[in-house]
Amino acid sequence: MAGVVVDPVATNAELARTAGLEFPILSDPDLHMIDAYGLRHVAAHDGQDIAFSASVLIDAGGIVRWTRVTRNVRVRPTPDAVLAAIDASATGPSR
Amino acid sequence: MRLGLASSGLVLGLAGVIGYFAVVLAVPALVPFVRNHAAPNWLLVAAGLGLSLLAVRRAAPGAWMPRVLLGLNASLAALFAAFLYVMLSVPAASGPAIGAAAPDFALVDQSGKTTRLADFRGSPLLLVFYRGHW
Repeated sequence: MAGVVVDPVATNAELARTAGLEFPILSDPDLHMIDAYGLRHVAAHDGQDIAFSASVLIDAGGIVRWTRVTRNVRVRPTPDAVLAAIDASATGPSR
Repeated sequence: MRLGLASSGLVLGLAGVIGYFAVVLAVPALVPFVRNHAAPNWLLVAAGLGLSLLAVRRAAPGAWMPRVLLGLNASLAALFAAFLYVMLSVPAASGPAIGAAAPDFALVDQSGKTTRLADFRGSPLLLVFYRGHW
């Protein structure tokens, strides 16, 4: 698992420390990765571009198997939904 | 008595709305069903509106306070709905195509280490994009 956000490394380090997060949080201030994944949300925060809230599951071979891009910032996939997607990714793609 | 009923309705409505923010701000990851659907909160809001309506129906002719409290309760519910379903909604985005090769990346993580897609080869990888600016 990895997080992806426009925030700088120092902000992510502070978040990881305070929240006790052990997975990598990737800093993408220029939105290179966010653009590559089609997830730029233009002028979404004080006129600045940020990422849409989204989850993307990539299988062991590097193929995208499952995505959830929220239409509402408070709605995220549940842990059960993510685990089910991981289980299903071995058998085929789903959206 | 009628005022007590109406007041109780408003208290339930407030409990539903304030409870949502209290729970979501305190323990969002532990209660995804509340964060995503606000179902318990809407039950409280609906019960509150029901009590407020009942108070108005049972009120003496000319009694205005139950109607005021019903109006407040209905306004609170409308604001709650507007916040949850309008203010927090975002445009549609497609994201990466299912079945396509995941785009490569090389970004720095919180420890200063450059991390690439290839680092995760051999096991599933869940990427969580989030809005940030916390």
